[in-house]
Amino acid sequence: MIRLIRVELWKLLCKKHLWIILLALTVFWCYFIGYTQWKAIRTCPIRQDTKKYLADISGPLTQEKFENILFDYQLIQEGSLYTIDVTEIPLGDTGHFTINPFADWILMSSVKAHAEYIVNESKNRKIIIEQAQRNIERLHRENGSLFNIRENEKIVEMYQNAEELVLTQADNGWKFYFNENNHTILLLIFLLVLLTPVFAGEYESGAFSIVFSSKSGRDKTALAKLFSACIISIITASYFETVNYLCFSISYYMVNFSLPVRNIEAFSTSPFNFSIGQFVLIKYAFFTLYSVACGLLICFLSKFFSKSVPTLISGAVVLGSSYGISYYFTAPLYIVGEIPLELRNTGEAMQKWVFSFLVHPNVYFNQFAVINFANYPIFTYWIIIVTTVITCLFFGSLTFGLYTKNFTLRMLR
Amino acid sequence: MHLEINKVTKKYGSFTALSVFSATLESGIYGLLGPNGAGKSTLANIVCDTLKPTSGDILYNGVSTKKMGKEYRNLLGFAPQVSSYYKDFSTRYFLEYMGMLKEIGSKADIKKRVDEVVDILNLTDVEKKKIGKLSGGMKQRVGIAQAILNDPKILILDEPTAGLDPKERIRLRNILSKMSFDRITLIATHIVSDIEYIAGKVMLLKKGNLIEFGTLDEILSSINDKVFKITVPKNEVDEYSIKYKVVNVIGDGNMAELRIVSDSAPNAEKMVSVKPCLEDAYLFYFDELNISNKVDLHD
Repeated sequence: MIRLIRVELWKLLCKKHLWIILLALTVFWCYFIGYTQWKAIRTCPIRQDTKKYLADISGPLTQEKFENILFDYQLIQEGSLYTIDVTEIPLGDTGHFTINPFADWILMSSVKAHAEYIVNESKNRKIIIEQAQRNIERLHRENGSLFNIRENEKIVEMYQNAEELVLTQADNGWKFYFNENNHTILLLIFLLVLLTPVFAGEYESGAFSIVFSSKSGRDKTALAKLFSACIISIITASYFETVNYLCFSISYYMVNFSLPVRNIEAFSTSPFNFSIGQFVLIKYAFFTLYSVACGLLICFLSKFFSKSVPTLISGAVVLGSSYGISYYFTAPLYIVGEIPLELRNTGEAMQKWVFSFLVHPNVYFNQFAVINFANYPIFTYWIIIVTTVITCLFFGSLTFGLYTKNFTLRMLR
Repeated sequence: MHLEINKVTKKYGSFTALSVFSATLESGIYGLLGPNGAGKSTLANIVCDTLKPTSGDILYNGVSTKKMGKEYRNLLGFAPQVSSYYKDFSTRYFLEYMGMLKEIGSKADIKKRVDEVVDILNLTDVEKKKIGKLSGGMKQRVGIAQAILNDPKILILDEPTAGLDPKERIRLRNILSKMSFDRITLIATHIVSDIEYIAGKVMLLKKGNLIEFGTLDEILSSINDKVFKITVPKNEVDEYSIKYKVVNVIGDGNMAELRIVSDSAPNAEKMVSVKPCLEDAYLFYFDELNISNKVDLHD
């Protein structure tokens, strides 16, 4: 079986055009995310000032630091903190510089964000815990539902062990890294190109008939193909996730893996007490699982249509539209605008589920999204994992069945 | 050893590709002859278990092949019409892969068998070459090589000589003849010469129907007294080509000798009845007037 998987991997990977596409996608992402950000940070005096400011305040939050930040913040509120009067920032990538009248805005907003974060962070957690405790008392008094009591108890338990607040100059890098998952598009493009021929290629070349007439070609080949698709999906996901991480880390020098993820602004109300490193692994794991599900879906389409072009088109439509819809409902308002009133409930629901995680991981992991499972609060990410695994098994077994029974679209006619 | 094809029908919607086909095959070479679209490949694919029939059954030694499953496929060797296979594989890698799929033994067994097959089909020079870079004839040989890899009891070859030059065709014919003992070999083709000299029995398939099945002599006897040679002036060749099924034309000065297949004797001065060959039978049954016979002999 292992030898067959090796052959199937060879069949898929020994095509030159694949490596060219992979290289092109990598170069594009390195330029689009890595180089442009790196250049902007290195060449923009404002960003350098911001960086210096962040370096000054990084490390564990002391009383002195806290007061300094609040003092700066007050100056901003009064309009008297202007570190630089006139600053030049690069205009696009043309190399020309222009005078920016809003030069101090970036620095000021950075100070403001940190000050608000420090003030709100401790306040938010305190409020959440107090609210949950009040709820528990009320629910006991009114003989409320067991689930609601347990849900509030869980909230208290998860928010009580708040870690000491640490400020890091790499905040921005982690923030962007956890906030955007747009490299998913690269993954989908590459998986589509890579896995479309898994079954379709064999039907188009006519080679399927020699496989089918061999002693145990059908069962073993189907399994080998599906396993190799899974292996390729895992490797591809890990590759793009690593490229994405490197692109961000080149610009922002992202370290501090052991810090609690709650120290990042976007996770200030997260119920999870993960470290940044753990969250990176979680992101890798989810991305990989999603990639396997997508890979098996492409395998199914490849077998169902048994032709490359319909597989590519249908795959692009199904995967692209699901990502697009998820993006629309979970992206910040300044990107997609106001969601129409009638769709807001859908949007809110989606933010608590898998779509939210795939597009903006921080949105999902910054909320207490549970469901009632036999009166116990279960985090929806468990449902996401189980659903994704079931989806993988469903598409895997469906494809296996269609292939071994040699089902073709012609049979439907 | 016998393979019984029992009332097999294959329909695609309202189109019938194969209609109630029945035949019993025993050891030896069988030629399945018919024009393009006659249903030869459909039958070959059904026998090879790559296509399910709409109705009917195939029995091997009295046991349904559906029930035999893997056991039946273990007896099969199939070289399909299309021979593009895996372009990026080397010939040897491809054959070893097929050896794995056919489960012919351990890694060493597979290597040994591949060596033998490469030798039989004279593929030694190209065993390291990528299949995509092989000539049509070589690809065809590779296709046959993978088919005989498991020393099959039932060997099905679909258009095995497509793309081969005459020398290679003869060579392939000889190989098939040598291998035909103690196995059923079915050659589906529309090229008469592929089977004329080696097939023990011939099946004529037309629009999904089996119209003749018998030994070469039996089939040829059915068109005895229907093949004629006539000599006519050159300027009358076109007229005869329209009126009769002309097998070939040989020009000689102002005259031309025509070989004609016809139910009735043509009205010509120099007319002789000749012994039919399989090509005559093909033309007789498949009713395909060869337009190219309208040769302009005046040039």
